[in-house]
Parts: sequence; C-alpha cells; structure tokens
Amino acid sequence: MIISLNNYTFEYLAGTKALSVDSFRLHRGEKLALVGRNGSGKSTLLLALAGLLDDRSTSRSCAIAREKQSLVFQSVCLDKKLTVEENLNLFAKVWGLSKVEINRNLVEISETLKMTDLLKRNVGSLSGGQQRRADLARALMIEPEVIFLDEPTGGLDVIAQREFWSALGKAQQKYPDLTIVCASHHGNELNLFERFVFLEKGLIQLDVSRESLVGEAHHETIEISTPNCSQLQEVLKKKLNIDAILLFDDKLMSHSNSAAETIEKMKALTDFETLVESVTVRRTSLADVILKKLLDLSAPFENHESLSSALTEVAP
Amino acid sequence: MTSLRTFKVAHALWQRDTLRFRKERSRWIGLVSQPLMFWGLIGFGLNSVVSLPEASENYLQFFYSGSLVMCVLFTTLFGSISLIEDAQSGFLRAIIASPAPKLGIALGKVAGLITLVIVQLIILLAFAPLADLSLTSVNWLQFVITAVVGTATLAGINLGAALLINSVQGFHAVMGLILFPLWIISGAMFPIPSEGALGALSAFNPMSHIATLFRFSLIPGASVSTAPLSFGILLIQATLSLWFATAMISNRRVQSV
Repeated sequence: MIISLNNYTFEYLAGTKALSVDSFRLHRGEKLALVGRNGSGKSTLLLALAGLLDDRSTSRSCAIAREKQSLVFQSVCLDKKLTVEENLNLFAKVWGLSKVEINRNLVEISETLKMTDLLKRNVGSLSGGQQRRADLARALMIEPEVIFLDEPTGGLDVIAQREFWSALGKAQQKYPDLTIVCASHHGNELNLFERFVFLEKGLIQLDVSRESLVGEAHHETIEISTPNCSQLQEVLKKKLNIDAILLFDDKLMSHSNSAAETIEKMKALTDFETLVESVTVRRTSLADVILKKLLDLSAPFENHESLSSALTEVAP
Repeated sequence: MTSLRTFKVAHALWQRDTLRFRKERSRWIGLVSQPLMFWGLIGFGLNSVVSLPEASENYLQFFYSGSLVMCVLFTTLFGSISLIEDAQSGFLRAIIASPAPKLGIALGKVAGLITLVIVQLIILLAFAPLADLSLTSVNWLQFVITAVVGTATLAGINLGAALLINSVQGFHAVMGLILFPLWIISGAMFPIPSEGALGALSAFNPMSHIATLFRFSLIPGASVSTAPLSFGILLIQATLSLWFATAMISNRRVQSV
C-alpha cells in the first residue's frame, strides 16, 4: 500500500461535503481509474490522494515522497513561449533532479513517447495532442512512482485522445511499476486500467477490478437511433419486455446475452419502423459496461436525461 | 539542504524568466521606452520653467531618477501580470503542485525581475549624459544595491497583489488607482516636503526611498541626507514584501488555481 485514506472528508464550501471516504488504499503499480460524471468527486479524490487538498487532515498516509509524485491536469501546464526541451528542463529542475538525471531522462522519455522531433519546438506551435504528449513527458521526467492524471484528454479531438493514450501505454510498458491514477468520464479511454472506482455525490459507490467488470459484460450491445426515445423505450418495455437505456437524446442502448437474443430483439424492432431510424449491433466493450454502471449508479440520484449530456460517446 | 533546494528552484525559475525575456523583444522596447519617453517629454519640457529650491540639480537631472523608479515600477508590474497569466494558463498550478519550496518560487520570480530591471537601467543610463549626468561620477555599488533592493520590494508587493487579485483587469485597476499615484507622490516628479501628509506618506512609500537612493547614487552632492535611513527602510520593506509574495504563493491551492 502506498497511499491510504481513512475517514477522509473534504469540503470546498463549509457544510457541503465534496468527498467522503471511509477507507481507501492505493497499491504500488496499480492502474486505477476514477470514474464518475461531472461533479461526482473524482478529481477531488485524485487531489486528495495526491495530497494537494487543503484539508489539514491526518487521515491520509503516503509512503511515497512528494518528489516522486507527478500530476497531469485537465489543461496543459507548460510554458507555451518556451520549447518542449526548455520546459522539461525547467520542471525537472524545480522537482530537484540533477543535470545528469535531466539529460538522461530527456533522451529516454522523448524516445519512449516518440517526440524527439518536438523537443526544439515552442510549445505554443504544437497541436493540442502534441502539447498533451509534451505535458505527459513533463510528468514522467521526474521519474515518478505514481502519476495522477486529472481528465488528461479533456477538450481534445478523438485522434489527439488516441495519441495521448498511446503515449501513456508506451510509458506504461517502459515503466511497468509506475502507479497510475486517472480521473475520467470517458469510458472508451480506460482500457489501460485494472481497477475502477465509481464515484457519485462525493462517495465511492463501487470499487471493482477490470476482470469483475468484464465478467459482467453482456454478449452484445444494440444501439438504437430514434426520434422519440421515451416513446420507444416505453413501447419496448410494455409490449416486448425489452429493457433499453437512454444513452443520448436520440439513442437507446440494450444488451443481449446471446446472439439468439440479439436476433430476437432485432426482429422485434422491425415492427417499429417509424420509431427506429437505425440499429447498430456490436460486441459489448469495457466502455459499454462502464457507461451502464454509471447510469445504474446515478439512477437513484438523478434522471437519465440530465446524465446523457454529461456522458461522452461510447466508442466501439 | 532546504536552502540549497530553495536556491535551485529560484535559479530554475530565474532561468525561465530570462529565457522568456530574451524571446519577447517587444516587451523590452515598451518597458525601456516608456520611462524614457516620460523623462524626455516631461523633463525637457519642464526643465526651463521649473527650478528646484535648495537643490543642486536641475529638473531634468531630478526627474531622471524618477524615470528610473518608473522603470522599476513598470517592469515589476508587467512581470506580475505575467504571474496572473501563468495562473490562468495552468503553469503556476504545476509549479505549486511541485515539492518546490514556496520561498524559492517567490525568489525566482523576483530574481528574474531584478535581472530585467538591471538590464533596462543600463540602457537608460546610456541616456544620462543628455541630462549632464556624468557616468564616471555614478556610485555604482549604491546604484546596483538600490536597483536590487528596490526591485525586490516592488516585485514582492506586486507579485503578492497579483496573486491576491488574480485578474489582469483588476490588477490594471490597482495599478491606475494606487501604484501610479504613489509613484507621482514619491518624489519622482517633484520634491516632497518632509512635513505634512505627503511627507508622512512618503516615509512608507517604497518608491520614495528608491527615488532618494537613485538620486543619491547618480548626483554627487544631491540634497538627500536621508539616504541611509531610506536604505534601512527599503531593506525592511523588501523583506516584508518577499514574505508577502511567499505567503500568497503558499496560500494558493491547486484546486483553486
């Protein structure tokens, strides 16, 4: 165990608990994803684990020196007027690395993240994806034992997001003992992770392993585009006893446990031509399971309609 | 060990600021030309119509020191605005989240501004002969010490205020409402009587002491008998302002940056 929280609470405003944790342990080498919708408390838990909340609390214990903890925030923290190399040098010096360590890490990390050609370029001249990669390099420069990522791909397009996760994947291969904690609501980004903590209203609702989540996965996922979600949802439930979850304003999602069940549902949907615009069938992904969990967990708190805007698309 | 760490952090941030200054040539031109323009327009304009009672220097020479104070003020002001930009861009957040001693962060910013001020003062000094000020009679040691301690004082105040206000517009308002008037009544533009409200105010106004000490270094025989006292007060103010900037950085939280 490297970081633990016991009876930990945090309030941004007096009287409003943003986070309340009875007991939480982070283990060395773990790849932990903190999942929840906006305002669920995942970033607060991430900052609490990083020891960056002004909590004056003694209920956090940490076995890793501050110098070995690194953070990647929602926005790029680099000085855009300096080159990537100048930035990496600067942050490594601020973290207390020696010149020899800086030179060694600069070569190693830029090669690992495939960004050697970017080193001499001003950060401001890089694309959003390249800037994020450079920011990840900054976090890795200090030889961290644990790295905290707070929604690191927010605002990036799909290609830039992939670039970032690919870079993190390479870093993970290079440094297998690196502990990674990531707060995200993008289910499709979390393939690297082994442990998933779901949060809602500042509380840990579920703490499960990847195996457990995948084990729960249905065989196939049917995505239905419709001009009238609520009507189709009602019809499917009443007439055919099919459960369909509201995914977006114009999309429903239903799961099947077998190919036969999928075929049966598809046949049933042909009876509602006016309500069904298109149907997509795919193998259920980890992102689908995460999304379903989020919807299930948030159901007691709020209706699904408000959720659909907070959640992102589910990639196949 | 901690002091070495503080020094290393300050050095890294000083390097960053000097690198940025080298890349931003337009900023240099603006910061040097503004005091020069003020000095030229006001100094030459009023030189023939203003005579200073009980002073050995003419108005052009008198106002030259005031222009140097303006250079220190503007440089520290705009340097502090860059700290607000750092906060808004996320750079400051990463620095605050680091294990760096907060004093090192403050010292690094102050050291960067001192370097910039010194370079600009050297450029401005090249124009001193236009006011019949001989560079050979300048007391260089006193001049440099004044520049360093004076810049540290104003930099500390401005950096702390920038973090407190946290908005470029708000900081501009403070600059217009408080700092610029304080410069005017610092003895930079006209002599301030030692008695009365202005005299009392100037005792607490760091720019008054900077102006006095610059005048003392530049003009042999200038009527500045209070120079040692000014230096003592400025030294105390520099320490307090550095503490203020460090406290503001320490109070800055990652979740609110």
